[in-house]
Amino acid sequence: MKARSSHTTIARIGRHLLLLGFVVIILAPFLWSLNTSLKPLSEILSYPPTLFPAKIFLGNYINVLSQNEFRRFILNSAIVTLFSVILTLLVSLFAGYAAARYNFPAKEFLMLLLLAGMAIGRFANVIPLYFLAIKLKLFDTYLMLVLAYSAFITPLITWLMQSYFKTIPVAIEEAAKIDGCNTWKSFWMVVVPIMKPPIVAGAVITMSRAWNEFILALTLTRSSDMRTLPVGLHFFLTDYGVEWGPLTAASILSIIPILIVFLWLQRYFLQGFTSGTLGGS
Amino acid sequence: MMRRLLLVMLGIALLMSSFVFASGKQESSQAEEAPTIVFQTFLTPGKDSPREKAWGQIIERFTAKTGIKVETNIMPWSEIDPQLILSVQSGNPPDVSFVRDKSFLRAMRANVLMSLDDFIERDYDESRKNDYLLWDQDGVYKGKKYAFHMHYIPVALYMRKDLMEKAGLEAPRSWDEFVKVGKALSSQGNIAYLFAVSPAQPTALDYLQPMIEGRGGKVLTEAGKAGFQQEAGVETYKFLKSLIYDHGISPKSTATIKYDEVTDAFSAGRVAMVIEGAHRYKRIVNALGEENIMLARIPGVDVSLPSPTSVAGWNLGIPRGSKHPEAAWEFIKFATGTEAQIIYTKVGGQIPVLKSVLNDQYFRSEEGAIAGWFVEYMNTAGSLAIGPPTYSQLNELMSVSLQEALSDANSDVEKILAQSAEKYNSIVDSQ
Repeated sequence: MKARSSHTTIARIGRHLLLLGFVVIILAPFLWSLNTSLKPLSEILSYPPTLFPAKIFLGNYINVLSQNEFRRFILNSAIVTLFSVILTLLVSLFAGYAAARYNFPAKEFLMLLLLAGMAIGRFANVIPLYFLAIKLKLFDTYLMLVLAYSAFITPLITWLMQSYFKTIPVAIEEAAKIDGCNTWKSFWMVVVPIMKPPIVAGAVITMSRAWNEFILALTLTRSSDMRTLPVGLHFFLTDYGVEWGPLTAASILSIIPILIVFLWLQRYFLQGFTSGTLGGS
Repeated sequence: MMRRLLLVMLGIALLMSSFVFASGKQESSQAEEAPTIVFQTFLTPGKDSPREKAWGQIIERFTAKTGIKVETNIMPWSEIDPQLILSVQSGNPPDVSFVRDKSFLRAMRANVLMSLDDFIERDYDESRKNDYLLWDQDGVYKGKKYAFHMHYIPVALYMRKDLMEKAGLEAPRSWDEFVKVGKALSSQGNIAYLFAVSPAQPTALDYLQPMIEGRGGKVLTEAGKAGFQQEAGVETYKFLKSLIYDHGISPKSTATIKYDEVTDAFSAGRVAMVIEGAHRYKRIVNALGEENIMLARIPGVDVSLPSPTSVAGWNLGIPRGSKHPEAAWEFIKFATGTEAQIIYTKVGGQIPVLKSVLNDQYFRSEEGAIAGWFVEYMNTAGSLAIGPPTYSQLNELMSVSLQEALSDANSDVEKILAQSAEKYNSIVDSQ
């Protein structure tokens, strides 16, 4: 009994050490960026590198935040991300509901086709999307980015929604209808409130994708007024060399909104994922 | 709760929509007197860096002089060329664009630039043509001129003046002297010489070209096939290998070092000598102080014959389908003219493309002496950096083969280069 208990303890310690190692690997680049962003150039380039800044230096953050373009990049990313989240959630909610509740010809095939579309990488779509944007006169507009981002992520979120809708008993909607709700009303008043976890999970996934996306943002926009944050970060990689201080400061600043949202909604996010995919399928 | 969340999101969306529509680009209904040209660049005119300040002034003067307004499309420098090809092929090009000279032939193969010969014939006389430092080589494809360099980037040997003086050393003129200087610097605990080899940021051609040409060879033959596997290339690779294994001048880790890391290491004072482009001079001076830097021609096989400097840079060209080619030509003419070139040299710290600029008092000042030195080096031993349509594959192959040669003291350089040459030739044949 004692031997078994010590065996369990060792296994638990091993597991924790493994997790700790994993956390260190994940956090190390972030912490090193944070560390670099708080150093002046002379200290960034010094050898051997210092583990902590000799003195906290905020010059890189001031430099970045005082640039009008950088503030504009943040605003553009915020606009594109917000609308992408709204559009993706709306379409996915309806599509997921239809797939979960209604039977229609070739439903399974269509759902698989939807998923198969995700196998085509974004890079393969860049050129066709560019030409499409020009034809539709949507080149260099927020709308084009929103449509493109939403189109790429909607299949995944639709599947997520469908799985979760299936876990909600139909009886709840039937009860609502007995109480006088029509389908539309019961959808919004009864079903959607229960869908909080997958909606949050879908929102967080879409947000992180749209916020971090680079190649489409680079190709589908042209003017400085339309550039988003990931493209803006690339401007710190100049042909003069890498501007490490401003680059790391800007990277840290760009992570903050996603981090805040994730920490705020992480409970629902995890619930949405586990219930929607494992529990519901 | 869920409803409230959705309402809040929709509220924010509505607020932002009003902003989006308010700030969206509005087509002007007013007829414009002079056209507005779109200039594709990687620099933001008017910003703080020297080149961006200079561009701000150049555009301001151009508009004041011609009435033509300039709108800029700014993108990361590494994306300029692919985006240019894409925009031309989709019928949505800018009016003027930067074109990296090393990508010039690739751009020409994609047929993205229009010939400037008609404009030149109309507006340029012989004296103006002769004023350009490399008129016959610059932006020429099949006998026609398609682009003008805005500035040049020659390379040179950068040295730590303080370390050299402390050790009582002078700038090396030959590779033998280079080894002696390197050994003396190493004996004082310095990394004497560092060079970028990593294929992750392939730039080996920047220093291999002058080293191979300095030994009488060519990286590519006249027919565009591999020439680097011949005697001069083999000697160059063996020499670089000896710096690590025979002389201890360069660390073995140089085989994995990237270009930016070399500049950073030199700027941080960790390395005594590097071969570097003129475009990073100001950055290095800002980090180390002008008093601690000295420049020299790249050593050669003989003290009397230094290696040539390979000259790169950025071109200006007019993409096919430009909506305002005439105004775009005026812009190029102005930007590569004397007034703008003086600004670009003085304010931007760049190496000019015109000989007449050298008459300016600036070049007799201490600050301008460096630019003058680079121009002199280029003028007497300048060789345009090679830029075949397969430039990126060639550069990567050279970095990979050099890495392979340097990674093992017993590596067979001839065999490695022969294999690389075979690979490169098959790439050329397949295109």
